[in-house]
Amino acid sequence: MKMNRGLSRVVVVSLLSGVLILGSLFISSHSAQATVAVVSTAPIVSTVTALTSGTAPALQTGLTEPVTFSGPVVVTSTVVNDPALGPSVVVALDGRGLKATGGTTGTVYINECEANLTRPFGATDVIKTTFAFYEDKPGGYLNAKTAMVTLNLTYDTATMTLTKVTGSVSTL
Amino acid sequence: MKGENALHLPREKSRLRLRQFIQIGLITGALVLVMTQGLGVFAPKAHADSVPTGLPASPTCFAPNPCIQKFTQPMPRFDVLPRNAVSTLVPAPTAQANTTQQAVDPALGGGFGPIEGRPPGAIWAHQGFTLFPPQVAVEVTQEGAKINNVYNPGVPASLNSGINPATPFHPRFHPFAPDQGPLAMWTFNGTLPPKLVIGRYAEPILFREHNKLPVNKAQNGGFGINSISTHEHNGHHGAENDGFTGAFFFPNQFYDYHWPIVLAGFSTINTGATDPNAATPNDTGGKTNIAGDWHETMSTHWFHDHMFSFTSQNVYKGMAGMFNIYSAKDRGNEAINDGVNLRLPSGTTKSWGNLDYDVNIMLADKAWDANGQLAFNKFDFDGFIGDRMTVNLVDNPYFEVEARKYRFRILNAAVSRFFKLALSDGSPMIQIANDGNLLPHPVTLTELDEIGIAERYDVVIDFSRYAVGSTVSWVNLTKQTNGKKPDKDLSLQQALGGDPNDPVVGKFLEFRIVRRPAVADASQVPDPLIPNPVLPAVTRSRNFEFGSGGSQTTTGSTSFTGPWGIKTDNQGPTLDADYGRISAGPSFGTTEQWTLQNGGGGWDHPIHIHFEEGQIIARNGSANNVPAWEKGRKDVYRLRPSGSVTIKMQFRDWGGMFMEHCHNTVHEDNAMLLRWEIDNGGSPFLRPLPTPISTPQGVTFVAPDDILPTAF
Repeated sequence: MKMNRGLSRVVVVSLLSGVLILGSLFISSHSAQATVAVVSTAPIVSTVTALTSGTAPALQTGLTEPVTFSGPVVVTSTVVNDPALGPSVVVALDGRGLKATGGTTGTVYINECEANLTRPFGATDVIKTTFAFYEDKPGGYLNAKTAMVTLNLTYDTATMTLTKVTGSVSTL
Repeated sequence: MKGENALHLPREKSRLRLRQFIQIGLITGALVLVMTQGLGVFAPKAHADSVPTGLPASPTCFAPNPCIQKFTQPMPRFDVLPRNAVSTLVPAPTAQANTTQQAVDPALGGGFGPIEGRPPGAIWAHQGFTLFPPQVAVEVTQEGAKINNVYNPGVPASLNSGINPATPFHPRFHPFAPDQGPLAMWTFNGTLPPKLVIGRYAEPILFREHNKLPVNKAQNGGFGINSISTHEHNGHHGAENDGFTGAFFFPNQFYDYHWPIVLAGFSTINTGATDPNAATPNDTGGKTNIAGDWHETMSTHWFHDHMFSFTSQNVYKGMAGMFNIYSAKDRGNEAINDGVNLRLPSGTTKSWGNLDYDVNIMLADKAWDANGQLAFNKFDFDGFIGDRMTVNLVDNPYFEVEARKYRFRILNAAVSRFFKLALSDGSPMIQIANDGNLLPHPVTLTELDEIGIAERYDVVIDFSRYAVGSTVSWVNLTKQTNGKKPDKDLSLQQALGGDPNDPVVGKFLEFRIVRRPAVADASQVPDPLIPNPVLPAVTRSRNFEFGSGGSQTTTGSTSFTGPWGIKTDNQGPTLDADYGRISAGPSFGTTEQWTLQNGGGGWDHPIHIHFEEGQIIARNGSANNVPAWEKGRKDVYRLRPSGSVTIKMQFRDWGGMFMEHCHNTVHEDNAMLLRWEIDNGGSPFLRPLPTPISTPQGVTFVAPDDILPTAF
């Protein structure tokens, strides 16, 4: 009985020690893997409107005429400087104010140039994103074509605000 | 040495004994962990920003097979589940849970327990069971992977990339990869492809699910748990059919989910069923008017496991399917022209529910081990990112299409990954629905927004612009290397070049235009689609802040501790999940405004609110920030870093306890979840509702362990 009691004690204590050791390993892995962003800062929002222009050639769009774009693209950057993750930015762009006209017929085209893009934060960024445009008539969206807007963004890295945007419209 | 113990040993021997002592302890402790958690506890630990998360890269060569290459296997259509007569169910379904006793396996504690795992009694009885008696039975199992000998794609092989449904369908990601073992993959009926339920309004479905998973919870292939609860995302049903996270059931039990499929507002709006737009298709090409608000018509749902603290693991193992809901507006027949039918791409063979040109797409990133078996890292609470892109649970496939319009119902069924889709030639797609709800107006896009976890985007692609014999691919533009948030959205040209740190960037599904359609494309994409419902005035506002640093104020089986949490109404601490705690209790029938705030800094959280669809009225405080594709009804709201979403919802028709949580399911499982309830709609509900405590031997109830001061 004495031996059995001793053996039982060893097993119980061994089990406890094992659980403790593995538990501490688990906890350390837990704390190591979970990046806890305890501190966060308010988003820094800035907006710049870029007067943008360019042409979508007929050869690329499949239309019978080139389409010329001109007008504002509103670019809003939302920078979040999370101490645990570093700064990141979501760039919202709205180019629906771009006027588009057919080079031959004068046909008016409208577009759905609207996007929210996750981007890394830096002093500059170049964004190339495509968008759909189509003839301004009922059901025009069923025959939409593709254009691309290129935006060159400049940030003030001290304030993390957008300071300048230049842009152009083209095709892929 | 007789009777010795370590304390009496000389120093040298004592050291030896101490080492042995620790070794024994480690081995014993390890055995305990393996017995309770499975072998997955010894999975490699996470490395920050590596794909897949904390695991070696998934091998693509399995000798003697050739190595896996993209676009070398067809994408299978979903496997349509049989719609049976309710009389085929044995035992017959009952309003209250069937508490007939059966012997419980010793591995589950032995003794006796009920055959149905649904909580017993009036409160968990099927609401409206007499008013909306089940008319269709869908009976499934949840079990380990096996070969499918009864695959029903719902379309001929010519519309399923030539896949012969009579050929046994193996549970594998590629023909050159091994079959998944029964512990590695758990799916509905244990088979692939993923399952599809076909339903229509006013035809209630009794979805009976049998738990056929191993009784020993350590037999899980390293992750997953054998107790389950299935959420019909985002059904307008009573809470007893919602897949409440605490209403789980065990191996050898079943659970009857009653999906009445009614238009929201059926009890208060158009109660005489006189509005011709509120209708359901019949079998002869006509329609039958029904009660409710047709502006609440739903179309694309999915169903998935919602087991408390194990949703990510179980869904990743394969516990997910989709549910197409048909209505007079969204008929699934593109030819019927009755002034109500929107005639969206679908087909014409059947009066409703044609799948010919209406394709379910389940996107999910996966990883597998050296043996080709599904692998998961459950120790990284940021989330899990896989390195293999699967579509309908096969690796980077191709899909044959005709040169005409198709509808694709895209579901993001990943654990933590966001996807952003474009066609490889930049051609437009028309987004028609968001989260299963047809938008007020179609939105024409060349690049979809990032699709958050559990979001569904329905799009129409017109392949008539392509020559027969040509190809075009879907491309993922979003690079993501950890569970925190997407790293970066790439330009199309960049994404086409791939990314060395994220193999899921780039082309992942190749469309092959194989022929002109034999019958002219009769489908349309009209404008408008379904305008938003007009909800009553808001009577109350609430605020939920999702962040890290959660703490727990309760203990017990309903309570869990993790790095994540939710603060309610700007009061008290950020709280970890406890499904025994009531955080909100909107009054039956009222409309409320909820603001979902990301308090987690640079992280992103796609937040899901069960049961009711919401309309986004502001992002970051302004209606101008709501993009066109979010102007319909939704049930998942991605917050974006430090962002907020303000929505309004009406709580009506049904009652019970529901949930709100992050659908990055790793965040959800690690405590970013709360319970809210509607409990003042009359008998049998009580305020507050008792919390179910599920065991194999039966479900008991306890009083809520916490009620937040602003809940009611």
